[in-house]
Amino acid sequence: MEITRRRLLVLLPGAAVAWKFVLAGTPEAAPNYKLTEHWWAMLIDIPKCIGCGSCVRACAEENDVPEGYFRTWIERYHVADWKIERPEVESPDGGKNGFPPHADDGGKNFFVPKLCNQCADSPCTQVCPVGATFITPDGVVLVDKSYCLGCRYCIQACPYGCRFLSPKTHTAEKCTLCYHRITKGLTTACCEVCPTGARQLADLKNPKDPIHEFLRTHTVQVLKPHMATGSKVFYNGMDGSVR
Amino acid sequence: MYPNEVELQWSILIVLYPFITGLVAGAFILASLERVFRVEAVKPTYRLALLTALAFLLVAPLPLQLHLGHPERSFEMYLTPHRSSAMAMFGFVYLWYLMGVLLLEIWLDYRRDIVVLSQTERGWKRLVYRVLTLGSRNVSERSLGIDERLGYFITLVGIPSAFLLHGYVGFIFGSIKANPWWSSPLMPIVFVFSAMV
Repeated sequence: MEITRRRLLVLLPGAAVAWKFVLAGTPEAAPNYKLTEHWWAMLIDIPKCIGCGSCVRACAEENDVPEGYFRTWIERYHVADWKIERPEVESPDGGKNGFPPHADDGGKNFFVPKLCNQCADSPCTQVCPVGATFITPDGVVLVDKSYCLGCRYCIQACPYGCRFLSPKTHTAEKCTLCYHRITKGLTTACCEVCPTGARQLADLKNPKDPIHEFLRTHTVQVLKPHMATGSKVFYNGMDGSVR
Repeated sequence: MYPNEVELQWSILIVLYPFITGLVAGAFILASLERVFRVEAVKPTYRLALLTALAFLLVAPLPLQLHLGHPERSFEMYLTPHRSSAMAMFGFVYLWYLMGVLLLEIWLDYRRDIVVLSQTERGWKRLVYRVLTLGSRNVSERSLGIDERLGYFITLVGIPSAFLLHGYVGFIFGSIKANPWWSSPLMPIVFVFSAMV
């Protein structure tokens, strides 16, 4: 074909689009992993959590989380006797270094680890103006940081405060459920280091996963069920004071 | 209050934006008072009001751009919009108001002057005015009459569009159910009324 000026003008935008795909390269291979055969979730056993902060440290280490921001964090609740509607909640440095002792003035204390709920109907995905945040076929909410505008609409939309704007990339960032690990058959960094097994990765599509038996035999809750986000982080033995 | 929420995400730059679109809608309604409702008292302000609306509408996205983490990617909102996002759809409401209403109406209103200037001016100014005529140099009585009627019609469409522009900004906030202070179907109405006041 002869390259005339007119033909070149037609070809150039096409070549520009194609070049974008060339630069993107091929995704990292995960052999024997089928997206459609999994539906990831997490189980958090509140009575087992001792608030040591190992999960927060492991997450920061594994995912290079910027200082002062959290993909996962631990909250300590203190409920004085009957004041279930007014709990005292604290999370010094996200619970990264554990918690100082609480004055024993009666009432109860417990820890609530938090992370992205990997919502099936996630409000953050809904509001993204360019679709940079999306739900993978195996049920994990991710952000494409090469596409995110940094408008922070998703950060506003998350009812659980799980997102933040990364000061490094200036894009929205959140828990990825260690997607780079779970697609290779590993568990997440936080579950890996939890000394009491308070956090467990679960695959809802796997009929042999112990989560099904657990859900059937325990009193399980999700955070803010009235938000109807299809949250997939299940809390066992969660007190009604938890926000 | 979660640890990540210590940082205020939408601050003064975002506050500035609804303020500016409020001014746009207000200026346009002032212009429409003359055009549609025939209020003679505001007649001298007609062109000024339209140009004010255009000027503010053009600079309105600036604070938003400055707020973005990646302003250079903002145009993706038009190229690859996410249909369920109120923000992406707002891009088109903005575009409609800018191109479909304001620019068109101002062009129609100034068309006669542009054509005259394109014939009397010299040098590069002549070229600019010739481009601005968009190839239409007919300034007969009849064509000016058509301009007048078309302008009236556009203003008629423009009034609800001005409400839509500013009300939709309210919808962007109102559809955030995670924030109990914003989450309300009345938000667009609140925005429109606060613009009027």
